[in-house]
Amino acid sequence: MRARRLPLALLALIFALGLAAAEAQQAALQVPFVKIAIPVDPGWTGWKAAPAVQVPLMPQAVAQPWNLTPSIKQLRVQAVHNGTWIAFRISWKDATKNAVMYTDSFRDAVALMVPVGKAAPIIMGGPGERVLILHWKADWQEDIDTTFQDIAQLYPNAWQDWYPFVAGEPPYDITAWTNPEARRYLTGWVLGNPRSQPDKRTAVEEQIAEGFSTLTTTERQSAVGKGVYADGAWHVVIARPFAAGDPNDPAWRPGRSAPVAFAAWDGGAREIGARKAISDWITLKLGAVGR
Amino acid sequence: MATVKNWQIGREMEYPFPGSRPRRQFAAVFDLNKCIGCQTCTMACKTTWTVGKGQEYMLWNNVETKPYGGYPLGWDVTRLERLGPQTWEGDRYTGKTLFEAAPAGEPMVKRLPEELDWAHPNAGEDEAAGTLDRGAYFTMPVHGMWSFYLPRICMHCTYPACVAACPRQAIYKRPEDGIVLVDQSRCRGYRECVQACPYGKVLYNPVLRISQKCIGCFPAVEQGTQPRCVTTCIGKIRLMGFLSPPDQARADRPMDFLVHARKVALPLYPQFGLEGNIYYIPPVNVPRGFLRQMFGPGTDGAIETYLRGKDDPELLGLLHLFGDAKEILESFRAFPATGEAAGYDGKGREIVRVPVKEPDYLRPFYDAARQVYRHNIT
Repeated sequence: MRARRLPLALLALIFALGLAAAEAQQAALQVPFVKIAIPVDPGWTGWKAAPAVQVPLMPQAVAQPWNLTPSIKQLRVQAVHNGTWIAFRISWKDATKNAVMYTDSFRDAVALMVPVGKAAPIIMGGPGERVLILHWKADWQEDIDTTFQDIAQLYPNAWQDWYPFVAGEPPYDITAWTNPEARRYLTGWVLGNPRSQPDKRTAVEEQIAEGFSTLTTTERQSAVGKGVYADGAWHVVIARPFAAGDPNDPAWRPGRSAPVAFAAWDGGAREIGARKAISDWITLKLGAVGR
Repeated sequence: MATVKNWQIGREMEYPFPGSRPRRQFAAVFDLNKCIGCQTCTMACKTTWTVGKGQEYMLWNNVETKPYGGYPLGWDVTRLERLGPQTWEGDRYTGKTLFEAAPAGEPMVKRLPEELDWAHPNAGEDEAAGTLDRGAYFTMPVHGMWSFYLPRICMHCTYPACVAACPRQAIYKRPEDGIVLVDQSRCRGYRECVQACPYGKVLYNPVLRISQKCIGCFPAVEQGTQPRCVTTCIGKIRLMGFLSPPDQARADRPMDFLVHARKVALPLYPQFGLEGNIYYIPPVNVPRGFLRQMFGPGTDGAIETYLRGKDDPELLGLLHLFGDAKEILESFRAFPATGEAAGYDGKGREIVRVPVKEPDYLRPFYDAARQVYRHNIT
């Protein structure tokens, strides 16, 4: 196991930030019932009437590496449910859209976290205290909105004469890599790493964790979502059934309260992984199912 | 942070994980005096492992010309600059390693190479530096410039920076052979390892969106075969084997002999603190200051030992076993009486036997049978 000692000053900082966040915390988020198919589009007109809270963010400063000055300071969060699905609309200001990654560039992202049981530590859960994490990624959205970010998209002027075991013509689009001998070179794809899949079905990855370093993609992927960048801001919807028949279904349901927390990454500020801004837990007040 | 023993810097140091040496450690020795920069190793590696999508500019093995070359550009000088001036006292490094110089919130000093830094694998190729201050190495013709080729692969470090940096612990060092691997199913492409490795040997695949690195040809090593870059080297400058810690070294084992017994093969930038396991016989015709910064305080001794090699039957014998067998040599022996050297597998069976001196053949200037004259008659 990793041996890490947190300096006292740092603990004090975390404590102070935690208090600051608690003081600034808004009233619980009211989640009204809507009698329609769950809205996955951030442009759905009904969002205008949905209650919103401003969720303040603080730096993640427990697990290395951290960034004590993350660029996203707060999120505007709304949510609605239709009895079986819940949808969140998360908005934040971001001066640059970062949706494509090269070696030295990173993408924008946002995530929400819900305890699988009644409660869990804010630090991505803990041993035996599992959390469900729904993570929207701008690069996956780009794959869906345009096309998979292959060499021809990333480097329009690149030319490769030949790849072994791949038939066809340059630029040998990745979907043409049907020969198993060729696919062996595409490690992440053949091993099922969600990042490497050319055929993205959703921009949201559903994951579980029991503390830092344990983030794991779940076998069953039930979450959907869509992000739109407009006028210097991201507007992202993340939706999931309350119950997907999954052992990792949270204990949330209509008519009750449930905790949720958020994290956001500004790719333009090289934020990725542990370098992120996080919220404290806030309370969802889920409206009863109406007629 | 844990405290671990790093013999290359002659002291204990801080590392994020407790020390746990593998049962055997993958290692190799590259003789820089013999490298001609032909890139056969590079192509052998490239065609074996990195011909997939997103690997177009990815070289797990590269050969760069020092002092100006570098892949990624400036991997060494930028890291040295970030670390700042540091000190050795004899064989003990009294400066700070990359782990010990870590800023708050980071496990070590890092640097993310820029996209274009990976786009010039042969930058500086064959460019020479200035003259030696003790005069030109060659006196005829006037030839006052120096340069040398530096072939590089992953160092499969004892204390890998990539392992220390991965927040997901998706990189691991195999206990059976010390080879360091990125788990391609768990990697999330955060590039903390790309920033952490001072040797620039973890690379990002922008199509698969995960990081990749030299795998030490582990499928070959598992079958007792040396890696592709070693077996294809036409200059026979490389030998791969298993290296023991200094207190368990055995002089009949090739790596132990070169690194611990004769100390003729040196670590690359030992001051970084990673205890890398690719060792170099330093080039004899390069200014010592440059070499000492690169290979540490053992430089002068290594060059002296190397230059005396003709009088050292064991060293001479082992150097002749470089590149002569594809199998991993577990032990070797020199036979001065017959002028031979032999390498053995783990069961003591002879794998290869070579003459240290090629036999002379004298042939007549005019070959009457073929009715030809010979220009080369020895």
